[in-house]
Amino acid sequence: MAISVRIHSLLPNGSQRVEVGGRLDTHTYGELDDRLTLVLAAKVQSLVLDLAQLDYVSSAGVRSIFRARKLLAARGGTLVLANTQPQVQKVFDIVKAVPLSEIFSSVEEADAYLDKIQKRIARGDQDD
Amino acid sequence: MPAVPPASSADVRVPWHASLRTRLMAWVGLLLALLLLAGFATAFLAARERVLADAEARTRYEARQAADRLDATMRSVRVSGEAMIELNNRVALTRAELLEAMEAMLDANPVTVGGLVALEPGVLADRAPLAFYVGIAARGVPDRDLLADGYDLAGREWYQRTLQATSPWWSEPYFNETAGGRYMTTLNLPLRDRSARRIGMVSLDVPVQALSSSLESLRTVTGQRTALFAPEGTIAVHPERGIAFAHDLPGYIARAGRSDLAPMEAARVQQRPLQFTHADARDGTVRYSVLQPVGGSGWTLQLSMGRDAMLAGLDSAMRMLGLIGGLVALLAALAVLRLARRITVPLTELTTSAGHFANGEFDWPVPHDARGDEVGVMARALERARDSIRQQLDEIGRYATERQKLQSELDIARGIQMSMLPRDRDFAVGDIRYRLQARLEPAKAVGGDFHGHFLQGADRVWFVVGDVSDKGVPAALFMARVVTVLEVATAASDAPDRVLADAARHLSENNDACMFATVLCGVLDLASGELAIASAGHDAPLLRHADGRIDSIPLESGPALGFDAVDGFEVWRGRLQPGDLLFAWTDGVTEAFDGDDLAFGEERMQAALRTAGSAAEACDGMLIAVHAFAAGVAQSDDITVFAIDCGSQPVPAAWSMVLDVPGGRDRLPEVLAGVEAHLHAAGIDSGRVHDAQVIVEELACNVMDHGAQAGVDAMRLDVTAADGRVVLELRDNGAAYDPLAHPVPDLDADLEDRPIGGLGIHLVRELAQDARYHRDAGWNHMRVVLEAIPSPT
Repeated sequence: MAISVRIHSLLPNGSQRVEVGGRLDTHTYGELDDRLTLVLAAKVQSLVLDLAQLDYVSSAGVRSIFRARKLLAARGGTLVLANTQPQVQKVFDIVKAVPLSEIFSSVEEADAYLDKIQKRIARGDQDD
Repeated sequence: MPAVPPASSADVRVPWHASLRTRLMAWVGLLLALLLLAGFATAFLAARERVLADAEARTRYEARQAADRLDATMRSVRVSGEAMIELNNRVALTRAELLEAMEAMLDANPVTVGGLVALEPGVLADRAPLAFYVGIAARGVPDRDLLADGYDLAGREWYQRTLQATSPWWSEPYFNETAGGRYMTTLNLPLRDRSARRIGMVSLDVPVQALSSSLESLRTVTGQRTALFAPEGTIAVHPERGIAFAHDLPGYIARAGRSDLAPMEAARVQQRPLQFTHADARDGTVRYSVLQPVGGSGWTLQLSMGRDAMLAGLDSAMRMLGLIGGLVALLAALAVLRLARRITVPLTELTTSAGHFANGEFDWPVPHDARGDEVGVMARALERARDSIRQQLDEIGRYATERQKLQSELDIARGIQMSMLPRDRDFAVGDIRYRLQARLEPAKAVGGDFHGHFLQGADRVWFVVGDVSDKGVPAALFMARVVTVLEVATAASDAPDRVLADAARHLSENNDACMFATVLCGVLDLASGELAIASAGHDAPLLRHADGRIDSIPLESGPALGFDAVDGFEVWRGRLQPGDLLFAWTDGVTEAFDGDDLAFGEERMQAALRTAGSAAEACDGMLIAVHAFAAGVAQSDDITVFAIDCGSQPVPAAWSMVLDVPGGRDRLPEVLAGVEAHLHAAGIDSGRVHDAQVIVEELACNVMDHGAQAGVDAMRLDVTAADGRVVLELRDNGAAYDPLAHPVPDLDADLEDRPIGGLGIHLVRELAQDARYHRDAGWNHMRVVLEAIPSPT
């Protein structure tokens, strides 16, 4: 079973939603890496990975997402996960590649969280 | 052969009015008649001109002749009178002698019937006057002594006029009763002595009849009329009844409305000749008249000729000519008719012959073929056409026979081709049973689709499904070659890509017909269920799982066989597990069309495949679905379906797999799919199955990543599910290495500081209930235990 990556259009607030489905393992993480590299090349501020269709993830897949998270963090961005299936959630719990606070049960929740962060940053900027 | 309508005589016969013959005759006749008519008209006009001129000249001549005759008569009367006067003047005669002489004179002239001698007193010797009318008794006129009768001679106007006259003059005609009730005219001559003293007169009576009789001959000419006018204009002779003596000319002109004669009256008065054409206003008749003065007598003669009469001869001549011309035209038309028969009759006969040919009676003779004219040319052309048709019919008959023969050969060929296709076959290894099924329905008697399977050793089955370009005999021949080449290639090979490369090389050689074939080639390991499939331009097969899921096998197809000697076909590797069904087909299935030109397509195929319980059901069900879809529309292409199913087996206690290292990483999905299938089959819940897969992947990757340096070349995985536990055992023959000795990564470090790798072993440790390593007889042995909750089903 292969991986499927569906990239949604970039929202004006710099938020980008990417759906990842299928199996994310040692064979398929390379494809996700490639796709996310392209996504991150743009001025993406926050990335919502919708994993509703992701059935399987191994450490290789976790690394791929972790790498993206680091790249985003370097430019002050945020990566959050949404709709993780239980077995996938379990893996992320174990390796702590993404803080629990940044894993959501729906895309709406993730978006609300990101909005809040942005507002805070905006306020902080004003404070500065 | 289409039915030829029989040639009936009605087809050959042309109605007379449409016949070429009739038309030729009509046109020639008409043309000739027109030409003759034009000629006649010209000739008529010229002749008419000439005839009129001639007639007019003749009339003028005759008028002159008649006038001359009259003049001669009148002059003879005058000579008689002048002779009396000469006699009286020269000889002194007594009364008796004078009368004697007068009588002799009168008698001598045939036209005079009597005459008067009157002498003034003192002329005769006895001095007595004389007035004596000498009549010729033989001509019915008695003598009369006017003096004795007391006739008042001197009181007569005509006597006085004569005395005064210097020359003789003619009286107007008058009716004379004493002279026999006739119209007379009198020539009065004055008598003078030597001293020119008026001494009396001599007159001579001439019956008008005597004058007009000289004109009798003129009346014999048809249409010719004569009229004679006295010096004062009195009409003495006239063709119309009741006109003579009753009228003078001006009176007649006025009374009868003959204004056309007015110029003639003028000429008469002037005593000059006149020729003119005039039309009688009463009946429109046109006449040519000649007015001729009669010497110096004062009389005039009119001779007129009716134009109709002048042209009467011409008209009758022309009628005769026209009749002759018509006859000539008719004869010419008949001659043309006869000539045309020489064309139309042979045409009809040739058409009759052609009709017989159309009925297949080729021995019917062709007439007129020896003629040297166009009819002969046509007849010979017909003969040639007949020979050619007969020859071609023979050939068509020959072809039909050959075709029949070919058809029976095709039937035999179909039998041979079908016999080349292997029978359905089952294989059983241990508890697993594989069943190979195929169906082929050619669109033509012989087709280009094929399928086959060949056993290699005891536990490998090769299978091929293919489609040769085109249909019919050429495709069938090429198909036989392809099957043979593939069979030979599989016998010596271990991978389908090599088989296809080998076959591509062979089939591209000497392929002048440029045929090609798409081929799906696969090999099934009966012991492990491992599948390897490669495609040369053929659709990748479908893999239907036990739960009804249908996967399209992700297989990149290479080029079809026959074009070039190519290499590098992609190979898909997988495993056929219990409940799975592999289905392959040719495009005759997906491209079967219904009445609306809609293709059967892959979706309908998947729907038909979903519920199939076995390979046989899959094949038969698919054919039924395709035929139901096409619903009677003629099959356009060969249809082939091929299926392998893997029979169910009891849940195995364990599942194992051996992987080569390195190079086994590519087979990892297959390994994981095997783990998944086995644990599912063993009733392990999906969360635990996921965990087990993660553990296998992490450990296997670890071995492959690090094992290369450690000299690993083999790895074995054993999976056991029993008593609510899953035991995963992974062995490798590399240098001793305990992955669990790997330190736990600092997961709570700052994001910036955390390394990306090093999570795999941590995952294994965390997911497993128990994970141990030990070194066992040169093998690294990892044993991982997962507590499992058996799923309710």
